[in-house]
Amino acid sequence: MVCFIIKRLAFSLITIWAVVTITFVLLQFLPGDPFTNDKIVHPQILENLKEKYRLDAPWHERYTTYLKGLIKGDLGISMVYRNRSVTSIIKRTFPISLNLGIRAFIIAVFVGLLLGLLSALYKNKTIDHFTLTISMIGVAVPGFIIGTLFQYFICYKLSGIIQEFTGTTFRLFPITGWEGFRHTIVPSVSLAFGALGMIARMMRESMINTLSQRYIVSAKSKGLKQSEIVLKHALKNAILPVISLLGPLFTSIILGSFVIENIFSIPGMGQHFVTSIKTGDYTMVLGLSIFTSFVVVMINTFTDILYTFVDPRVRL
Amino acid sequence: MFLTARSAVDKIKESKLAVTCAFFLAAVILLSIFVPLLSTNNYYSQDLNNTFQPPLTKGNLFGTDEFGRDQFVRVWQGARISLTIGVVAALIQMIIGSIYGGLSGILGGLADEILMRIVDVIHSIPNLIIVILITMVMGSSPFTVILALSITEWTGMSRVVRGQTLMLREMEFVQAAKVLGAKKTRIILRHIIPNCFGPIMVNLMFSIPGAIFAESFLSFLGLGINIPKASLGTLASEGYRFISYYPWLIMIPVLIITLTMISFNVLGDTIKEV
Repeated sequence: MVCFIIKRLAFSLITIWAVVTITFVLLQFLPGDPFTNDKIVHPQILENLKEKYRLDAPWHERYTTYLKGLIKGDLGISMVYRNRSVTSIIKRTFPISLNLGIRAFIIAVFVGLLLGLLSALYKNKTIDHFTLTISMIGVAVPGFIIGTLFQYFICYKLSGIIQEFTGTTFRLFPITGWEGFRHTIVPSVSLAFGALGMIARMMRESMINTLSQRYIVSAKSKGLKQSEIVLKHALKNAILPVISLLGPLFTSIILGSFVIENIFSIPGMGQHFVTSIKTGDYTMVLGLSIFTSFVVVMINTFTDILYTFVDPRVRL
Repeated sequence: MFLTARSAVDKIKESKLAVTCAFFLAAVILLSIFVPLLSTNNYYSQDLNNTFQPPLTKGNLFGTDEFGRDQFVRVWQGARISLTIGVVAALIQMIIGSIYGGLSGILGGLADEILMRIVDVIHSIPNLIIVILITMVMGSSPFTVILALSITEWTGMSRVVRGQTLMLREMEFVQAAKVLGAKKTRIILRHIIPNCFGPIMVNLMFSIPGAIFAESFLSFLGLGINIPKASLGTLASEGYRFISYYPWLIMIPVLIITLTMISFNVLGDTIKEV
């Protein structure tokens, strides 16, 4: 067990090192010199800037300083806004993204499991068709489309109808912003949609599979109630494959939040990431990429380790 | 190889949904080839007297956009770009993945172990982030989008092919061929590659929509295709700005992307069952 955890952690370290190295290599290929783009800069100032960013040093020296900085938690400084470090941006924006991500994750897991379970129990009934449709849409439709459609139809149209109906200016689902609970509902649901579809589909397949197993048949022949069979015997085994999916799904939620935060103007890390791409703030994008990759790798490591506790068979 | 293709077609014929999806995809492909070729309008000429025309107006079946460009041609031109990126990226992923996975499976032993650990590392890096960085550094064009998607997303295919190769190596007919004195190249060409065809096709059916999906994500971030050209993703994210006044500008591309992705997924699921 301990051996497995150490192995897994070592593996995630290698992965993070690979990410860091790739970003470093890409940094060398950046188009143009960010300092010379708009105005003519005095050569002395340019020298100072180059020295500050160590652009003159040979690559291996820069690589080691880069790695050393990363170990200390220094992800670099913005190239567009002076005195704005990547770490300060992460500190300010990451809690918001995490909040949104966790909300979406909870919705996806609970609704997905429930829909998958019901769909397996009532195969070929209305609830099954409904679940299959939802999961197909969740898997096939890009997140930004789901986000824009939800925003248009729920926040704009539906809330508008409610406003007209009640004759007030109260907007049930605000179109943008991140201020209160009402602001969080539609973004979290749109962010959860893709993962929800996958979980429902996985749960349905695995539950149908489990219910056809022999020990379920024998439980049934012994006269156990359907509810007892499902909750006591089938559920535990059916849920296992879904747990192995949680890591990748959390990853997809993190990346999806880039888009959803932009659509709903949520001041999270994803929105900052996209703004940095658009303003050409390369160091910021690279720093945020490293941080996001770090989070993703850590989550996957954690879920893998968790999985060995839930299902000891994989350790073998 | 032909046997599996035949049974896949039979399987599709069995389900009404799959047949509909196949016809829809065929229609999208034909329209995206012929509309930009044959139409009297083109995707870039502007007509500033006729901006924001609603759909079904004279001469503009899908209406016009903010510069009075004909939306019908733009949408099908966009579908052409999206599909091309999806198919080309998926094919390159297939080639890289098949060669890598096949090599790993055939070599076996330590080489296999090392090659697969490398795949594990690449697989656990969040692909889209690397794709974003590559397109950002190299500038956005269909070429860079395809390049970035091909070099990051081939790991799934390589695992499938490796698994298949390992399984086939132990199969009786391969063993029999070996006993009968067949050369290694003959075994690979005649026995292993044809039998990998099915799983590769299934994987391809899912990697095409995957690549289209990733491309539309990039377009939304402003890293997709340069103006005045536009993929369906670009059109949708451009249309987003006018959603409350001219909703058709976003709804039509969105509808086509959505149905295309669903069709690919349904067909993939159907073929998988063979």
